Amino acid sequence: MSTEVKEPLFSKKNKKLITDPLNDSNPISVQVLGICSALAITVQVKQAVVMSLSVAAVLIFSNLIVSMMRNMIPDRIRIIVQLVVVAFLVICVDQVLKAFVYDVSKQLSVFVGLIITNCIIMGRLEAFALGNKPGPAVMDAVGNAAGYAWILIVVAVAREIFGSGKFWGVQIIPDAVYEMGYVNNGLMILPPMALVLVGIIIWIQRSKNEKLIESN
Amino acid sequence: MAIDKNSTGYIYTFTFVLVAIVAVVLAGLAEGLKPMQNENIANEKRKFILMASGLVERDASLSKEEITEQFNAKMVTSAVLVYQEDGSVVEAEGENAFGIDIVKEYKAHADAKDRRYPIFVMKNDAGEIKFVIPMAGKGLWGPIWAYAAIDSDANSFVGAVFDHKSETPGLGGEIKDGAYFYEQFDKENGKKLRNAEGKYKGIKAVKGGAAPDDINGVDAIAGATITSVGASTMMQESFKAYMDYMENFKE
Repeated sequence: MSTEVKEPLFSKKNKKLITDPLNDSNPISVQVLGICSALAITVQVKQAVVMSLSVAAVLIFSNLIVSMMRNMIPDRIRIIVQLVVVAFLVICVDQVLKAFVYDVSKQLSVFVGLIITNCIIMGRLEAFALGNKPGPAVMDAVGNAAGYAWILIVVAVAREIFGSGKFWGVQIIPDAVYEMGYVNNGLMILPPMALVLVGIIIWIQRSKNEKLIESN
Repeated sequence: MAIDKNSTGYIYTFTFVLVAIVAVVLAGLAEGLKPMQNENIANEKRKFILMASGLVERDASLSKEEITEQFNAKMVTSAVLVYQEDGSVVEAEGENAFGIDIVKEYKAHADAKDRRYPIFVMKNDAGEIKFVIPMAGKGLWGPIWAYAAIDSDANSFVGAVFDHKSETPGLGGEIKDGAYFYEQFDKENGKKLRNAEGKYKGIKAVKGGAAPDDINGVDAIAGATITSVGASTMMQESFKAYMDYMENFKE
């Protein structure tokens, strides 16, 4: 163990592990993974934040655990082992949510359980944690969780403001505006609008980020 | 020490140890958090009873302590009703109405005559009595349940709060989240347990929409037929046991 520390934890290469998923290799907008939860639980900002934190917790700890076990895991059953680790963490998160933020856990309902099938998590375990040391694995997880979270929160902010006139459950569009004839956009509450918003984010990102512009 | 990571023996040992560790940690965690989870469930029940009877606004955000305080202050009494051999309903002695898990109670006794029927009598600031009746039924994927509040005339609806275990959000889940559904039970919509002739009817969820003057019918939820049928059956059957108690209730 002692001879492993050659590369500083916050080297340029490791920093890229955190910054890349925010933009160049964003799990949602570039890799288009974890879309279903992004559509389902972005009606309110609070839900989106709790969901992001839950995914972040599962992703960080599963990357850490799998990375620490990477030399012990038999290749032939590695997917099952990853699944056990992820399922274990998801149940932990679910139990903790039920104990401390019961209302939110009820709103998230099945989607907490479905973190198990969130492609981002298995994807990062298989692609990164199995072949890297715990330090970089955690940073990779933090990066990807943040990349997932910012898209979720941006979409949720837009949907809650335009769909319900609220932010974090508090009304921010004044009554006077409603009296002038403004109405909330009901389509914003429905999942298809989340897909449109994610599409718009991808569109803006692809036209700004040169690395993502395809040559044809 | 070279171990062949792909030998059958190693794989079995590894799996066994991993699963054993996971099982022990999860069991410990679940047991450790159980008291807090149960407290949350009890608190939600208090909140639903207050919401159904109109004593607390639906979107009010109250702390656990506030809910408990309100609940204790506004509850006049609670009772558990049971059927007797001759079909009459009497109040059971020594039962704790709040402690009855209504979903389990309905599930455990298929015959309506074998069930225990809890009821909560609440009083608002104006001194008016509201009866809150918990009930359970079948949804598409799992149980659904509700707290329905009836006015002191033992006939008019004051409000209702629905909940479900695993109905599809946006479809069956609308019994809980769709204001257009549960608001039909609000006092101003004048839904009643008895029809104009005074005969017990309960409430039926009508596919395609109830007639505007139908005091015993509400609109079913489009796209959630099974859940609507479950809610409808529940709202037609569950009040029967309570009618005598409510009509003869005196403070």
